[in-house]
Amino acid sequence: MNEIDKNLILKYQNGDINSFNKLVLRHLENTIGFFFNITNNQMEAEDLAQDVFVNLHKHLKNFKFNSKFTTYLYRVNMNKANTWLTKNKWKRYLYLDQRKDVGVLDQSIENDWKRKELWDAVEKLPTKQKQVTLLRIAEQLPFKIISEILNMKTGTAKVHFHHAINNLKKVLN
Amino acid sequence: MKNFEKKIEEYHLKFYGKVNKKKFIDNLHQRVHDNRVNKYSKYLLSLFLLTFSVIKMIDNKTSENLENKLGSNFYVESNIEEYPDSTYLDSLYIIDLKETFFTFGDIWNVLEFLDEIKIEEEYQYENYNYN
Repeated sequence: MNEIDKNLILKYQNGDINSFNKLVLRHLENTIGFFFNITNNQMEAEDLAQDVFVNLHKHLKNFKFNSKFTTYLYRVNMNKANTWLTKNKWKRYLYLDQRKDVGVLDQSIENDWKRKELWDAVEKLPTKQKQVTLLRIAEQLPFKIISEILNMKTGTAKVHFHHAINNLKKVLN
Repeated sequence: MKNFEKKIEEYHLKFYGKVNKKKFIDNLHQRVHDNRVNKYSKYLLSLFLLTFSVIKMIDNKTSENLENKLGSNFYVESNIEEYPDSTYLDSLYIIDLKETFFTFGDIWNVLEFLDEIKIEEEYQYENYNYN
């Protein structure tokens, strides 16, 4: 575990709220970045990040240091993203339906549509494939770290991702 | 397959936005505070509802018991069955009272005769020194 994170958590567990703030600031942009990839909306990404840190405020007091803090944070982020994707399924359907009405699309808008289609397709994947894909695409993590986060072998993570890509290809093409 | 994977990875967005960190931290602590207040409010509300339900349940049970006990519109339990000749006894008492009253002519003597009061004790109380 990163020693700085560990020290901050220990101080927070002893009642130092400033250490919690420092911990939040250390991982803030990374966390918002992860959610920004999925939501493509900074406000929404900030809201989700805030949910995550509110959750951490509550649970870090009992953190046992059995795993790295970053691994724990990725796991919380992944679960939050998963919930968000499920919750916003209908919202995205409506958004995708509007696509037909748009006349000329520039490249960035086209990419936005494609990104939304991608996450819509990811949401439909089986759980393990969805988790690996979320961490691989939105967080761009190596398979070794993904396997640590999801408590599986690196090979298993790769296989899940392979199946996920196959499934996404079928849906998106 | 590899091409498709690369194409998907191209959709990765690098976050260049600026975050107002101070505002974020302030909002975060505000939310933590609100959550705590909500938690206590929920706890108090649950406690109130539980207490109310228990009281309501006890009240219902008591009402049911009372209804079962009375079984009718009589709200005072009568013991008239234990004294089937009470009316007869009462009328004898009234006759005794009337005759004794006419004999003595003084209601206090009548009541003493019928063991209703003890005049001597009454007299003692009258002379009792309250100081």
